Amino acid sequence: MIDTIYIEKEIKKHPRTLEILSKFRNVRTIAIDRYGEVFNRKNQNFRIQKKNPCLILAKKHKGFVLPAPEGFGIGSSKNYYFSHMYNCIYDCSYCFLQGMYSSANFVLFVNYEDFVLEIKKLISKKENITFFSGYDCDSLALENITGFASYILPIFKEYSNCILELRTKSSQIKPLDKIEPIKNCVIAFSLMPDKISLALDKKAPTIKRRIAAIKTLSALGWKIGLRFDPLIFGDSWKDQYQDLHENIFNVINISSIHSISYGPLRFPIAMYKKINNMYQNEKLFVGPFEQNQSEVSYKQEIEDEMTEFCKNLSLNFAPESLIFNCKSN
Amino acid sequence: MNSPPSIRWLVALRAEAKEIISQYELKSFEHEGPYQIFKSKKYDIWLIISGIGKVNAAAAAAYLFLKSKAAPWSIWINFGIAGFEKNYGTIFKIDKIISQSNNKTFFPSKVIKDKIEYASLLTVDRAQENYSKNYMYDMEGSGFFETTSKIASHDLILVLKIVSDNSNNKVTSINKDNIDCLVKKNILAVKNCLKNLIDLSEEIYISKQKPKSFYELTSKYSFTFSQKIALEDLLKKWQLLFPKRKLDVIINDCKDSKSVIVRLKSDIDETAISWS
Repeated sequence: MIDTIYIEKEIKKHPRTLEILSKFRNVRTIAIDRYGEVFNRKNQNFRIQKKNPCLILAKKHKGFVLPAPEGFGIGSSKNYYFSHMYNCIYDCSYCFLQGMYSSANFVLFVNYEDFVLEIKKLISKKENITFFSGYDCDSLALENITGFASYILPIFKEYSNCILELRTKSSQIKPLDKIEPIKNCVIAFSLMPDKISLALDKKAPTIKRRIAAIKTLSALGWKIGLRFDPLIFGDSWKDQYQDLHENIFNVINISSIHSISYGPLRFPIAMYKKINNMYQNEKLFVGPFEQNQSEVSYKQEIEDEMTEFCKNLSLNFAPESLIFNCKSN
Repeated sequence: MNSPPSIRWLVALRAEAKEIISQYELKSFEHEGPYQIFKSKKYDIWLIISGIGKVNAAAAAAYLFLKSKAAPWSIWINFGIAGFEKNYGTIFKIDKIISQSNNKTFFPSKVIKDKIEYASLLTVDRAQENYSKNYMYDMEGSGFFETTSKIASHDLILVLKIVSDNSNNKVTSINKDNIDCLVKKNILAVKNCLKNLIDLSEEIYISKQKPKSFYELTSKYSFTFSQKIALEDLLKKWQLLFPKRKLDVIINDCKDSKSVIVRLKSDIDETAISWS
């Protein structure tokens, strides 16, 4: 799949760079000074680059851990996110990354140790903090190459008052099947009805495969997050979300659910315009949307009805204390 | 004519252009400018002979952009010969260009996959005879890329170089005939490579097109600027929701632009998308 790897000269001999390179055969490597020389340049085209993305190995210098957007959380008093990668191997029509970057190449920051240093600085014994991974990428999709989850998971073992959420659509469960479950780590799966996912989650594992991964991980003892995010409107959406909830709750023990959250589909206006212009035939952008001063989203009454309906579906199976709204995109 | 294929060639020498002119049946474009230009009958394929050097290449690219009214989906190709210590006669796509005089580095896109391999290129100001196995030498690549990456889609710019000289094949022995021979040997690979780029160019072209009915409606009714923006968006949605319905029947009783918009909007708002 990946035939070219750009490597920042500074991390050319970093042990992780060498380890990652050892996983590729016949790959062309190109030396660069900084990843910005290749990534997100003017006049690049995300949709075109998505056809044959390259990997960029880089060093992150600042902004390792950032406060999560207002309204984003699963119960902790403080919420942060971090991204060891920009971009994703999947190609979801609603993904905000295509509106944020003009390049679809994958940027992987190899200095994981610096992320951990920043995380440790933020951790306080008095406060509960959730750290979200998988905001600018999928946390597990490229794990066989990055080894990021294998690196970061054991570190959180020491900090039981903090939660680490690994957000994913991946059905590959390594390294989680090889290590002892960590109580304060949540493996959170993005979910939507099967038919909608088939239309929108291009190149991503089917919902059936994601549910199978949920079943396996919960049986192994991992805490699971169910993320119905974004909620997608369409005909018979109630039936479809009902089936989805039943299919999930039939295979998972409630005790293994850490949290359930519902996130509406929302785009900042400029991002919506940019993404909408990329597609000629994408049903998602039919809406029905409305625009306020800063965002484009489904009409308020639709958003409220979907959230309420889905929450009630979950309440048939799980206590209210597990259910959250995540209103930020 | 600006619909795909829309291709702009830039070569330094007439000898490099000869086979391309022949393959695409290009004719001389008569004008009073500083560069020789050729174009196809349909005005979709253009070629400019820049002369040697990166300044010439940069200026000629900008000149061709204006003269040919290149579109955002136009493909830009710098094609020519280059020095390389290995692979005499082989053609390479370039994915890294270093300008020797100012150390600027450029990274052409790598979206197309075909049989032509990639190489790095060092653009120099004077012909070199100390050949490298790590990068090719040319005299135009960086100037061409620096300019075209500002005026064209980054992912539709291609730099193609054929190895014409190295320590076994001296630069002094290069002549019109052996350049022509090298180009002819590689022209099929070039055309195959171009096919892939034309597909991508078409995608960009399509993504920038307004629905056909947009033109019909705007010629029939008088829309304001903001109404036209709304109309384009609504038509796109309407056609996705009702691919089998005939638009002219639906808006038959609309008396003005406002009623067209209201009608389209109400149809869209009343219908939920089907995901099956």
